[in-house]
Amino acid sequence: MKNRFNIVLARTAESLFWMGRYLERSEATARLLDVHLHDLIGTTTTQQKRWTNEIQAMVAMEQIDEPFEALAMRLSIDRDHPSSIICCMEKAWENAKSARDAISLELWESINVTYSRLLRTFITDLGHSPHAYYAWIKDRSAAARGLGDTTMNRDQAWLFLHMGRAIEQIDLTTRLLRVKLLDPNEEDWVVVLRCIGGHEAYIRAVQRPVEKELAITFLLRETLFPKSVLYLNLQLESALLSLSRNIRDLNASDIIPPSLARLIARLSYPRVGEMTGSSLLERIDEITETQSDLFNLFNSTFFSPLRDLSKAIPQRSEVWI
Amino acid sequence: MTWRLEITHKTRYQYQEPVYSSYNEVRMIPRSGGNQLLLSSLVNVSPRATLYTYRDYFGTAVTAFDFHRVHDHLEITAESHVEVRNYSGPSSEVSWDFIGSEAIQDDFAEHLMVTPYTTVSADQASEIRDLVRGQSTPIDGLNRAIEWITEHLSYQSGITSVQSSAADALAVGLGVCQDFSHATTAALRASGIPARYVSGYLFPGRDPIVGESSIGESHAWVEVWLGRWIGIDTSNAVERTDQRYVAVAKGRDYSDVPPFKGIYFGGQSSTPFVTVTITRRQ
Amino acid sequence: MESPLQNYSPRIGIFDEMKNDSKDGIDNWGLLTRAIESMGIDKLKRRTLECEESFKARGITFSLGGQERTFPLDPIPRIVTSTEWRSVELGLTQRVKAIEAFLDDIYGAKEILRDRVIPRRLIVGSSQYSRKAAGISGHNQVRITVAGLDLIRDETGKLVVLEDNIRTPSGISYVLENRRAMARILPELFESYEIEPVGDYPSKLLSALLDQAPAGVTDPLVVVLTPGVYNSAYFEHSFLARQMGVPLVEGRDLFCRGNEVFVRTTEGDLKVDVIYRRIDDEYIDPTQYRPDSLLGVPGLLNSARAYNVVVANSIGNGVGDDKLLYTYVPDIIDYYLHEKPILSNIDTYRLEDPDAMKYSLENLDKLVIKPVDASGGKGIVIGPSASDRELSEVAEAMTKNPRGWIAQRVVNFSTIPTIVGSGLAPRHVDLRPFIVSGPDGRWVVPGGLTRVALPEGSMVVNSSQGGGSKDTWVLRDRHNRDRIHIESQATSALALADIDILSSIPNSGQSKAQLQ
Repeated sequence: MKNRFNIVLARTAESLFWMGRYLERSEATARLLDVHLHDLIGTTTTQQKRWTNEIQAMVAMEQIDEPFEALAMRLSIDRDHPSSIICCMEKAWENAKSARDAISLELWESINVTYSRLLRTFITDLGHSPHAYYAWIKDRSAAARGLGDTTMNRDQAWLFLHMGRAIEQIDLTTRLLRVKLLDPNEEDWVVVLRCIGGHEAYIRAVQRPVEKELAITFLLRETLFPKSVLYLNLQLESALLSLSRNIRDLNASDIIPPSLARLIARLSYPRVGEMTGSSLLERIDEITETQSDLFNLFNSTFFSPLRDLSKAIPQRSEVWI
Repeated sequence: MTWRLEITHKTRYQYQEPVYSSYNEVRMIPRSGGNQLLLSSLVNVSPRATLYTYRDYFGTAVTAFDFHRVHDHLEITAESHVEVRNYSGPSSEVSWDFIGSEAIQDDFAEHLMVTPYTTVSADQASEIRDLVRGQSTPIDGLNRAIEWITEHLSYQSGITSVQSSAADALAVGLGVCQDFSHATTAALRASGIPARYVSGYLFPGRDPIVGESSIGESHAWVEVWLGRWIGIDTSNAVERTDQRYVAVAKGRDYSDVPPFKGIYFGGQSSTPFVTVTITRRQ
Repeated sequence: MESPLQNYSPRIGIFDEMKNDSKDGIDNWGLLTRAIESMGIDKLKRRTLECEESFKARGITFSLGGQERTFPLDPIPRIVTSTEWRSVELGLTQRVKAIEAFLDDIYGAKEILRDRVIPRRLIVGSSQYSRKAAGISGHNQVRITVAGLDLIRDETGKLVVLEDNIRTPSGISYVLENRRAMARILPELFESYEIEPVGDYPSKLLSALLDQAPAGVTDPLVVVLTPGVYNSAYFEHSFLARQMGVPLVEGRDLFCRGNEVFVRTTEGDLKVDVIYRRIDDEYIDPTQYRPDSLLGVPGLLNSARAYNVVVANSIGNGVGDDKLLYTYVPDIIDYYLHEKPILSNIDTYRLEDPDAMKYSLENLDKLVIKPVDASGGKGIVIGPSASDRELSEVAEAMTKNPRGWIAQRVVNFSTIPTIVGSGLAPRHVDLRPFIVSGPDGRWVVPGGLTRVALPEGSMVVNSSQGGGSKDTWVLRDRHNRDRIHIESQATSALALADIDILSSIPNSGQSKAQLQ
């Protein structure tokens, strides 16, 4: 008997990948909103408006004029808004359910409980305090990460889940940096670090007051910080290596995109001037391109496009004489 | 009189955009039995594909194939040699009692049931039934039914579609062979006479010259059971089908016999280009 | 402390399974009732609640109207004696065997129609008679890999057949999960009672499926085909796939090429040999059935026809659980097996018979009217509790389409003590045992799913209509602990059950449906 346990459906791999992404996204959105809502008191209207625009730009949605609180509300519990936390959790749950046979019972249980509680408790308002809601979301996402990490084998299923999370986090850091770099008024890099959940880590690792250059270096290259772009790309590289060992007839060289190796080298050993000014924006473009290479790789090699039956066209003989 | 006919049925679909894959079934091989004997047959498709043949529930030979490479056309060529003779036995002499008996009605239940295609309005069903059953013998009833169809349907293409039912066609009073056949089937079944839908080929002329090709037709007609199966073609006002009629598939209605059926993934196709060439060989 | 059973009083005229215990001289319910008494209802309820919470967390739920619901578990089990179960097993096996022979016949030679045992119009007029599936047969003629028959205990205490489900019966996952839950709720009793285990089901099903692989396949790949995460039975599909260790696939994971079926995996396309499908016939292959189906696999039917893949249960089985055909099952058993039915039917009226129609229309309020081809309790009208409007509507529908409906005597299902509020009250139950056809013949899960109608007096047990479930305990035979193999031992066991085996040739189709 062949080892059937190794079979991972293309769709399941895709579900795991997206489950990872959506879990990470809901956590990141919660963190983003939490930080900004917290700092809202004592900021000027112009500042609030800027934040509103930045967050709108980051989660890739329409730019409309609305108070920050209204935006936060929509992004928290509006089931009709595809980027809202509740929608991300719903998609994470859907993907988990679809990949139910590939994840551990404990991980599934945790996500299932989160989702049903979300529907039960937070469907109309955020309860007493939005901060409690965001804290709860962060906790649940962390619980899912922890359960996945401690109860699942490091097999294909875990690797796809893991890579989904990493790719999403890189995506978020990149977007945040891009938005903040393009904003000439942005001076508060502490807020930027807090949005990633990295302020404390910065203080420990850098041991200097927060300033723009150092913060950017930290977010992009700090190998001690598990959400830095370099750290996450190293994780992706090693995940791809493991994947190549897990799948028959697959060589690491076939699947690790050259751009990934290049990016890692560049971030590890930058040349003078590569991380400042307009070169910095080029680096960020490079990160984005590597991301899209990886995404294309997943789609073409592992997720093999599924046939969409809704696009099937019937044909048959027409009426004749 | 026996004819040996060679039939070439070509169907071509041209796709405006690439098609990635498709699944298809054709019913284009004439059957053996009754007044006809299939001598040989060959189905070819382009692009090339592995053909799989089976006989369906109604005894029709089905050829199935699928494509998984990008292609921009589909061409099916079905060639067959078939021997057809005219029925020359005695005419039917069965009585209403016989046709209406429990045993016959149950044995032919499949060809007495109303299907979505062979539905007519309740009023029309009882009108036909009264007319047909009012005749002294089933054979007279059959002739009366044929008359009724001729009175209520005129031949015109482009009005009805492949989805139209007998009721649809009768409502506008117009239709093509498929509609005539559905309406005739419906009328007979409503009168308790077993009837089935036949698809096949019709040789156009009455007196073919051996060796000379003619443009034939894909056609549909009806068979009625009155002690034996009798072919009738109401769309051509033909009371008894003869050696010009080559049967391919038989069933309860069109849905049991479609000459070509499939689904594909990709761009829209144009209207298929269909030719049927029939040559008398002997 | 007052015993929770002190005020337990079943309705007169209804068979209560606990009250009618010890007819065989053995006190089967005693241990259980004493355990309940000493534990108290509150504690029992608390333990059950914990289990239900865990069901919810684990997603042991079914979808209803977009909501995930648990199938409420009542912690008072049902007890069935080994003696009774032995004959039920035989009856179920006999019935499934006969229906399978019947299916094979009507999709092939149709001898039973030629011999006029069953009217041909019954078959050719069935919406479930799939002409497109004619000519496809499974390995060893297994058509019904899994059957789930619905039984009820009538007023006299006899288990009779209510329905045959031989398409894609569901509920087995609850049987297994309920048993696991009960081991936590009443662990004490598992030591005192010797209960037949049910946990073998997944491995029995897997062997059955492996056994059906096309000839020549040495290492078959089996998959479970589900309509997807939003199907009400998705939990069960995923449960079975996990328990058998085979992939759970949706239609879009599969594709056919050259009449072979493949599943898309991260390591490429792998050939599939056996599909345990939980998708209805009409959605299974859009090239043959509903072209708008988004759940199926184009080309699947021809792949099965070419015998490169086996689809279980077979396509077209629905004609065998048509409720009008049900009235002929005794004749079918007689015709194919030359045996008398071990399990009886409920008196059923065939409405194509004018007298039966007349009687039924006149007595609608005393009968149960059912559509012949629906499942899950859909479309059923229960005369005594139906409104005038419902009755007149169903009367019209019956008159219009006599073939589409049957009428049945109202049978008062038996009752079992069930927790209601803070006490115990009698509630009506049915039983769905599962029969698996594997390489060693047919295997019946000891017990099955006992469904209970929770509202007082209700006999609607469907999960979608407020039903709950109970664990079913088949007690182990103390004298004969080695389980006998059913089919090979049929003869001696039949003798045991005091049942004649008919050796006569089939008598031609006399109607066994009754008219009083």
